Amino acid sequence: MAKLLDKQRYKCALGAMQTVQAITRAIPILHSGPGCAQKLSDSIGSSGYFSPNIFPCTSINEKDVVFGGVKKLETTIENALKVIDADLYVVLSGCIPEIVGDDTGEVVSRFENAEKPVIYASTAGFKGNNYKGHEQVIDAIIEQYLEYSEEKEQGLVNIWADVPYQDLFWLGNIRELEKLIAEIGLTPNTIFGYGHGIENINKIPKAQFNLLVSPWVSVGNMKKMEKKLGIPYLHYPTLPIGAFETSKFLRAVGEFAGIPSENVENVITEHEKYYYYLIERYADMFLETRVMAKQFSVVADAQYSLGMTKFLVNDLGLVPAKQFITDDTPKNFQEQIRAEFANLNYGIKAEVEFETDSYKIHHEIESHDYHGYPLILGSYYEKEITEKLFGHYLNISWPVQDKVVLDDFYVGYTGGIRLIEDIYSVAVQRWN
Amino acid sequence: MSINLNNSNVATRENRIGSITGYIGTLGDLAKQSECGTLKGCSRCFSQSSTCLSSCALAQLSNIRDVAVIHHGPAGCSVAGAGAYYIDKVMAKKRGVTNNTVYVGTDMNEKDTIFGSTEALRKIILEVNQRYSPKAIFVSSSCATGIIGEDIDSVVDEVKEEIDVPVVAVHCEGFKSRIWATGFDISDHAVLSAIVKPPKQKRNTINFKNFYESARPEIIEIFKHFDLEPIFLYCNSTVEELSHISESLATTCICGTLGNYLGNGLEEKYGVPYIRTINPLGVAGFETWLREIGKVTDRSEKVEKYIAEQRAIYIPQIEEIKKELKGLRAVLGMGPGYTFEVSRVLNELGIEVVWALAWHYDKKYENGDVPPSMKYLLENDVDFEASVADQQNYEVMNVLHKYQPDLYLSRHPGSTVWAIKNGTPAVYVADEYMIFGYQHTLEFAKSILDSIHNRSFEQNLAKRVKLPYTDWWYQQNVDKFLEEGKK
Amino acid sequence: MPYKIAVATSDGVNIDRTFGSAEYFTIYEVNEKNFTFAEKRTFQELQEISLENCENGCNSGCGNGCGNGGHSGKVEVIADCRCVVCLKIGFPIRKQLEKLAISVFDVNCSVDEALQKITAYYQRIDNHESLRK
Repeated sequence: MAKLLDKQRYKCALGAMQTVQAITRAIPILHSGPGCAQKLSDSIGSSGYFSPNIFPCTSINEKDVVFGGVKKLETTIENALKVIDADLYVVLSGCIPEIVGDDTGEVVSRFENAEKPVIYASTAGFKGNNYKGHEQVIDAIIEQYLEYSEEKEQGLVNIWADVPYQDLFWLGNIRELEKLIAEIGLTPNTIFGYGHGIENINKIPKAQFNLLVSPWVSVGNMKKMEKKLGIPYLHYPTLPIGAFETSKFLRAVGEFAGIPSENVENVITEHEKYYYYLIERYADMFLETRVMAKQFSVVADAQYSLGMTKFLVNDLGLVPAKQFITDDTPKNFQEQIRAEFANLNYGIKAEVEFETDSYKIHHEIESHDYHGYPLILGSYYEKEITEKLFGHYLNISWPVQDKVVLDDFYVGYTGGIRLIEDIYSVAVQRWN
Repeated sequence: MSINLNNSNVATRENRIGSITGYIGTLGDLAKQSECGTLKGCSRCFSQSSTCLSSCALAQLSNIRDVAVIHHGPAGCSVAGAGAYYIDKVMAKKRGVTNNTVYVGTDMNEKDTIFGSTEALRKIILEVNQRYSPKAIFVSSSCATGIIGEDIDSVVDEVKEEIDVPVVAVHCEGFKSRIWATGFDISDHAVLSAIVKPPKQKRNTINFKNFYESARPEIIEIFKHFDLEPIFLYCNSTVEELSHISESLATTCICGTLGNYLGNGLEEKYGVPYIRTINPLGVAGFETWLREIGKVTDRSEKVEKYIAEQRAIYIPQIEEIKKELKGLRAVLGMGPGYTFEVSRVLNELGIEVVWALAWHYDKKYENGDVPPSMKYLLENDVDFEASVADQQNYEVMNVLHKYQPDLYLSRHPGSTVWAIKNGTPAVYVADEYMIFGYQHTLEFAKSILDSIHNRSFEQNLAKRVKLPYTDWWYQQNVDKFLEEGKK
Repeated sequence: MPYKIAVATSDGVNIDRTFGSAEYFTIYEVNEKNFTFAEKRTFQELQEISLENCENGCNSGCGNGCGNGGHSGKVEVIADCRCVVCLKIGFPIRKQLEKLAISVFDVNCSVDEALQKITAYYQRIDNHESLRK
């Protein structure tokens, strides 16, 4: 049912064009209105090898609505193959063709023997938000491109995390996850970001297992790969930020991969030593900053809401007020995620609300007693309300206007330190 | 043609005033055909993504203070609300006012596209009204709602009885036009038909249609010389202010594409003269524009005095810098409101325009005349290669590759970087006042010099990136994919 | 509400004429979704459009969308139609038609297919029905 989407924090399924954009040398071909790509792109950080104004688009008009747009789609794909130098062409269909019944799949199947792979995903805006669209694109790769492989490479792990571009820190996070996985002796394989493209996609079927680091996004993709490619998966729902969760994460991965625990512990020990060297030096700052209350709220998608809550509670000893999850999490995952919020140190349980209506979220923040100036980690929408409460605000979730991130990250031991730096860079600007 | 304010649908620009989005040839040819009405639009069999008309329409409306925009469609359509929130907050802060405008979506899902969602929309409108008490409510359609036949006009008519501020249906089915600038007309249409009231008294005001009022303080100062007060539209406008714009002495705008519909509408309906000169960019533009304002408002003497004073300050400086700019070759790609205006200024500064791309081209404005910017170039014998390209990046890159100009000028997000990757210095003419009047013309000339003086950034990048097009494409003629009108 | 559709066809089977090259228009009457042949409409001033005028910028044989208002007679002939269906059309004519609220479908298909699709479209749009298939 249509609902009041007040200060929205996600895009539509066609936003998955950004998922395609994050795969090096893959290009989306849009079967949509002329302006969808521009609307769905973020105006900064989009001028890579391909940018939204490079994306071929059928630019559907009224005549196409009446007479169908398949012919236009065919010439657009045909010419895209000639004009654009890419490794993978992903046709994404928007609202109009899905409603009037253009058979996009049939048109795309005519390109089966093209020199480069052409696949398609149904990403009509009304089919769900861009988290769902992201899953559609990965599904399309699994269903239409990947083949089962007899040959497996021991220790090869495909890593999957949250949605590129929607997640401000997607690039840095995935690189840091790779680094950590490599340190315990595994070989990471990811398909997003610099130097990662079709070659990495080709390697997927050979992996020993899939590692999914996300509360719910891509769980369906993992199941699909398990079934079609015979790859088992480890679902680690919490984005590991800081020492406590990252050590736990490495142990879980090590155990699943069958790595001797001694090897894993050695890596953990080294990291924790340095991590606590830093924390020790700055502990005075944490304890003696006059302006920050112990209570905080995170307003973000499930990934950051959960990851940051665990970090702030288990590493920094803060106390959770209400937490908000704004990604329209499917109902069947909500209980599982709630349980994670109830599993914090000292039996602390964080109250969490799945809410897409920001008016209600802001009302709750305003009426809560944070016992002082609160820390609010959220989207740009939380800036004004935090200022009103004299609180501390950090822009960590979409929409982002208050921060420029090239390859910064919050994941892992180093990511936890970066997050502390960012939070206290805000806090030190005030004396009381 | 007459503007029908009783209908919530604006005929799309390409049909109404004969705009085109496909043409390649010379400026003289484009204009000649434009004048005798023989120009044809052409369609492409390959195109890249450009802009949705709803982006233009609803960005304009959401700039108005303390209103509500309700975008009825899937979440991707209303995603512009995130950008609008940011713009409204920072623009209000700069001006020292508050803006509580909300831009919400309705998050239509598959079920809605099957069973319809007008009842949900009705409730949403009422809820928004209750939450924020906006001064006006704009309810927009989208491609999806258009296709499934949602009757937003009826919903709006229904809720009007329960809401005591203007509630306006705004038709933004993106598939209806390839010319995104139609969106500007759509927003003007909504304001004219639902907000503007008949005049009660004349005031010493000038309606000034612009985007983000960056030159507001200085224009207020300039107009003080003529005892005139500018009202800037629509960024930071209030509904109350807008209701009185029929009482102004004249309407002017910084960009014809942006202000054309409102200017003509106010003239036709309320007799407010619309200043139809070339735009106030560059020396000739600024002076022609000021003189017309002087004429229309009966202040010619004051205007001439001002021009004489300012000329004495700026013209020697501009002449000086022209020496350094002489011989430079430029390519530019902008909306039609700017392409031909900026071409004129570049010509004024002694820079040779080797190719101009207009994203679309209004053959005739609402009143049936050829756009003044074009007329001026023809009368002054300025000619160059021109194309009408609807933000088609592959065509821009082809032109840059062939002409290797000294600089590329553009004013749309995401476009300059492609020139830089080609090794061409780019000047982003983002702010609509960047070339306004004598002072900014001088600054513009200086920033061009700065841009071409240090080419490190573009050279560093160009050396290291691969361009996204195949060698095959660079060997083709730029009009390869135009289905008609090939020369 | 019944309405009329003007079709540019020489054989009554295919849309094979551009707006400019059509010697006459075949008019169909539509009542809800049933369309019936009504009449052929020719126009006299066709000969008056000079070739020179056409070459003055058209250059493509796309069916002279040219003429400085020269087609107004041709437009008037179909002024009571809701839309016109032809192979191709120039923008100035499109503009003249639009002033009269006449839509243009420039398509390459059979007359029957065009009429089926257009009448189904209007039928649904007029009744605020979905175009979902």
